[in-house]
Amino acid sequence: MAHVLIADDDADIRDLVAFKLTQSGHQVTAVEDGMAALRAARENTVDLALLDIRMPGMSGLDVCRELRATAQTATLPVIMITARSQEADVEVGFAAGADDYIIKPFSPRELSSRVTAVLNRVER
Amino acid sequence: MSVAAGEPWASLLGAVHTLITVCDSVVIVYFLAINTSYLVLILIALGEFVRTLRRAPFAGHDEAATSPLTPPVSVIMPAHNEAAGIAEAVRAMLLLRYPEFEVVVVDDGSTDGTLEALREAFDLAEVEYVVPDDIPVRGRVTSVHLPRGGPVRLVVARKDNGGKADALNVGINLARYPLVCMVDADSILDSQALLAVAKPFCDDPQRVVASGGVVGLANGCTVVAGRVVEARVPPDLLGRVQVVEYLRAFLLGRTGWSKLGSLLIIAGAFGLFRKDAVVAIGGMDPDCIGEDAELVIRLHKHMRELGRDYRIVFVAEPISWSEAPSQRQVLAHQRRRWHRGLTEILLKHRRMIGNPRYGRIGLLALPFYVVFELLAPLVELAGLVLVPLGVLMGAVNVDFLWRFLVVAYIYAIVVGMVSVAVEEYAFHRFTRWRDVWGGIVGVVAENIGYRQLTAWWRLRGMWDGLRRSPQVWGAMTRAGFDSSSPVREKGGDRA
Amino acid sequence: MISAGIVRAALLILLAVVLALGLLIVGNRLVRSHRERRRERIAAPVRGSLLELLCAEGDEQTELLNRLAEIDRRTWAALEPTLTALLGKVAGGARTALIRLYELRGAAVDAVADLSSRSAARRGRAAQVLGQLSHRPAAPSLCRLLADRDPEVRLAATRALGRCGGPEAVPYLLESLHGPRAVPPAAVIRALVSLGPEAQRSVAAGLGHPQPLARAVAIEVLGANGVVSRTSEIARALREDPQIEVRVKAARALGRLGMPEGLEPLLAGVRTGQPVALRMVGAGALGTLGAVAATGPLAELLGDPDRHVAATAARALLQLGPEGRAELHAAADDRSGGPAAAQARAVLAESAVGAARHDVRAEVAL
Repeated sequence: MAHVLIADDDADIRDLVAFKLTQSGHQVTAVEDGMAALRAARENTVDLALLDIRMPGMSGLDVCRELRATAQTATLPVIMITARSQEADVEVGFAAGADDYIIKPFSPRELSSRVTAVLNRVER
Repeated sequence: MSVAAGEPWASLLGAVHTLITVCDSVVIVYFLAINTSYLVLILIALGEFVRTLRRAPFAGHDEAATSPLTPPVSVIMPAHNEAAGIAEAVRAMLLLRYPEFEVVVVDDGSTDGTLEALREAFDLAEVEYVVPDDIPVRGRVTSVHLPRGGPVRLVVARKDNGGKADALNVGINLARYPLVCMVDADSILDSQALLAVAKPFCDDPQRVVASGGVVGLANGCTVVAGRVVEARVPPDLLGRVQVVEYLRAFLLGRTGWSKLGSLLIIAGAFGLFRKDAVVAIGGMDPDCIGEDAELVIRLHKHMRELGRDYRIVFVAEPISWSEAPSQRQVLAHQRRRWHRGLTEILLKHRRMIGNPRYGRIGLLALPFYVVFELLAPLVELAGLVLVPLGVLMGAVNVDFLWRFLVVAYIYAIVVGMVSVAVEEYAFHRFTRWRDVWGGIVGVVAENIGYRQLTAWWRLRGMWDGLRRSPQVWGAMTRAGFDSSSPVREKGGDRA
Repeated sequence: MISAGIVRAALLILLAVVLALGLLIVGNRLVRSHRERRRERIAAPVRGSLLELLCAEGDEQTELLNRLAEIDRRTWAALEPTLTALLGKVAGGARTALIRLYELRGAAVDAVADLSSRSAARRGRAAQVLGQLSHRPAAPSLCRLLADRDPEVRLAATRALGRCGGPEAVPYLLESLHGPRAVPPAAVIRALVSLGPEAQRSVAAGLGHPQPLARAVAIEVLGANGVVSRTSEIARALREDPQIEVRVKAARALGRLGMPEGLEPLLAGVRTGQPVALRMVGAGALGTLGAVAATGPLAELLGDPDRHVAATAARALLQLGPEGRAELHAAADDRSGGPAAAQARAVLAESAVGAARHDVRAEVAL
C-alpha cells in the first residue's frame, strides 16, 4: 500500500484518480497545481507522483525536473499524464525523468495497473 | 467709443454669440451621439455573447484541442530589453494548450542580456541559418539560436535594432507554419488562448484571414508562473478606470465591430493571422506607430481590392492580459502615442475613408473612427472651453445647461454600467464583490475627470501625427506582475 | 431647442436605468452563486456513486447503473455537466458505463428528437451529445443535418458523424463540401479520418468525384489513414489532375503512404517549372517517403532560387539517412556553393544541435 500524489488542475480527473487508487488500497493526496505538488512531495513521504503535464503555473515537467534535482525526491517514481494530441510531450516527459506516462482519456483500470506496475518495478 | 464703431462691434458680438450657440449644440449632440454609438455596439456585442453562450456546448473546443488537423501556429514574440521576464514568458507560451505550434522569439537588438537569459533557460546553441526573405526587413539578423536536444519548439533570432514592426517582420520570415500569432513578450495568455483565436480558422478556413483576442488588464490580478489565476479590479482609481475602459472599448466595442464585419483593430498584444495574407501585403509597416491596427486596415484594403470574400474576426473570450500604466505620466505617453498612431493611420489611408469601393470599411468603420475616435479629444476640449464661454456670454441658458449636462453625464455612466453588466452576465471573471464596486467607481471616474484628462494627451498625439514629428518611444514604467520582480522600463505600447 | 421638461424626464429615466442596472448586476451575481451552490449540493451525494460506477466492473456496475438511472430529474440536471465532461476524459470500460447510463436515461432518444428542433442551439447540442455517445442509429439523421441552414450546426453534425457514422455517411460528408451550405474541408477530413478502416473503400470512391475539393479531401484522408492499396490512384492524381490543390494533396499523401510507386510522380512534381506549392510539398514528401533514390534530385534542389523549396529539400535530405546526410555534407563543404551550401550547413547545424525544428510540417495547407 503506497502513498500516491496526484496533481491535476481538472477536478474530475483528480477525484476519479483518487477514488480509484483509494479503492485499490492506496493512500492518496490530491493537489491542483505544480507548486502544491512540489510542496506535498517534499513534506510527505510519497511513494509515487502522478503529474499532469499542462497545469497552470508550474507544469508537470517542471515539477518532475525539480523533484529529480532534489536529493530527497530524486528517485521518486513519476507518471506523467498527457493529452492525446500532445504526444510530443511524452518525449519531453521522459527527458525530464518520468518513469511512465498515461494518455488522456484513460480508463481507471489502466491507470491502476500502470501505478501498480511502476511501484513493483521500483520495489524490485 | 463712437457710435459708428459700436455698430460692427455689436454685430460681431452677435455673430460670436451665434457661433458659440451653434458650437455648444454641436458639442451636446456629439456627446449624445458618441455614447449612443457605444451603446449600440455594446448591445450588438451582448447579442453575440448570448448566441455564443447558447452554442458553447457544441462549439467543438475539445475537438480542436486534440485533433492533429488543427492548423499549426508560429507564435512570434518580439522582445526588446526584456531580460527580466523573457524566460518565464517563453516558458508560459510553450505550455499553451494547442496541438502543434512553435515559438519564434525575435530579440530586437536588446542591450540588457535578453538573449543570455534565454540561452540560460533553454540551453540555446547558435546555429547557421538561412532566413527566408518573404518580407523585406531593415535590421539584419545577426544570429539564430535553437535549444539543444529535445523537442522544445523554439527558435530565437537576434537582429539589429529596428523597432517592433521590423522584429515582427523577421519573425514572420522565420515562421514555418501557415498561421502566425503575434504576441507581446509581456502579455500573459490563458492556456486556452491559442485554441480560442485559432477556432475561426478551423471553422471557416477559406475566408478568415485574421482573428484577434481580448486584452484584459493584468493590473491587480494574481499571476502565478505566467498565468492569471484570479482576475481582479485594481485598487487604484487609474487602474479601475482603465479596466472599465478596456471592457467597453476593447471587449464590447470590438465584438460589436466584428459582428458588423468591420473590425479595424487587432491588438498587437494578441492576434492571429494567415501568414500568406500578411506576406502578400508586405508585412508590418515599420514606419507606423500603430503597426497592429495599420496591418489590419491594409489587410482589409488588399482583400477588398481583390474582391475577395474574407473575414477578420474578434474572439470575445478574455484570454490575454497586459499590464496598463499605473502612473499618470506613463499613461500620458501611451495615450499620446496611440492617438498619434491613429492619426497617422487615418492620414495614410485617407483615400479609403468614405470610399464605397471599400464597402463597410470605407463607408462605416473608417468614418466612425474619424468622427468618434480621432476628433473626440478635440470636441471634448472644445466643449470644456465653449460651454462655460457660452454661459458667460449668455448664449446658453444656465438652468437648461446644467440639467442637460447632468443628463449627458448620467447617460455616459449608463453606457459604462451596461458594459459592466454585460461582463457580469457573459464572463463574470471577477469573483469578488469588491471588484464589481471597483468597476462602478471606475465608470463614474472615467466620465468625470479621466476622459477630459486623456483628451489633452490625445490632442497632443494628434498634433504629433499631423506634424509627423520624429517618433518618441514612450518609456513605460511598469510595476512587475508580482512584487518580487523589479520595475521594468519598456518601450512601445500594449493594447 | 429641447424643452426643460423633456430634459427632466430624461434625467429621471436615466437615474432609474442606473438603479436598475445596479440591481441587475447584483441580482445576476446572487442568482448565479445561489444556483451553483444548489447544483453542487444536489450533485454531491450522487457524485460518489458516479465515481464508483466509473471504477466498477461486472455485476457491481449493472447494479450501480440501475441505481443512477433512477435518480430524479433535478439531480440528473445537476449531474449532467459533470457527466458530459467525463465522457471526454475517460476511456474503456468507464466510458462504456457512462454511455449505458445515458441510454438508460433515454438521453439518446431525446437527442434524436431534438435533431429536428426549431432552435439551432438545440439541434447543435443534440448532435454533439449523439456524437459523444457514439450513437450509431442517429447517423442517417445526422447526415441530413449536414445541410442544416446554420453553419455551426453543420459543423457539430460533421463532428458527430466522425464518431458515430459508418461507410454510408461518407458520400454525404463528401457532398457537404460544396454548395451554399458547405462544411469546411478540415472538419470533413477529421470526420472521415476517424471513421476508421471500414469506411475507406467509400472514401476512395471520392477519388473520381467531379468536384476537385472532394477529390482533394479523399486523397488527404487516404493518406492520413495509410491506405496503401490506393497508391497508384493517388499517383495518377498527382500526375494528371487538372487542379493544383488536388496535386498538392496527392504529393503529400504519397509521402505519407511510403510506397515505391510514389517516387516517380513525386520526382516529376518537384521539377523546375512546376508550381512552387507543389514543388515544396513534393520535396517534403520525398523526405517522408524515405527513398534513397531521391537523394540526387533533392540535392539539386538545394540551390533552387525559391528558398522555401530549397529549405524543404534540405530537411528532406536529412530524413533520408546516411546517404542524404552525405549529400548535405558534400554540398556544405562546397565553398563555391553559394545558397545551396548555406542551406545545407543550416540544416546540418540544426540537426547537430538536436533541435526538433526539422520535422516541422512546412507544407500544411489551410
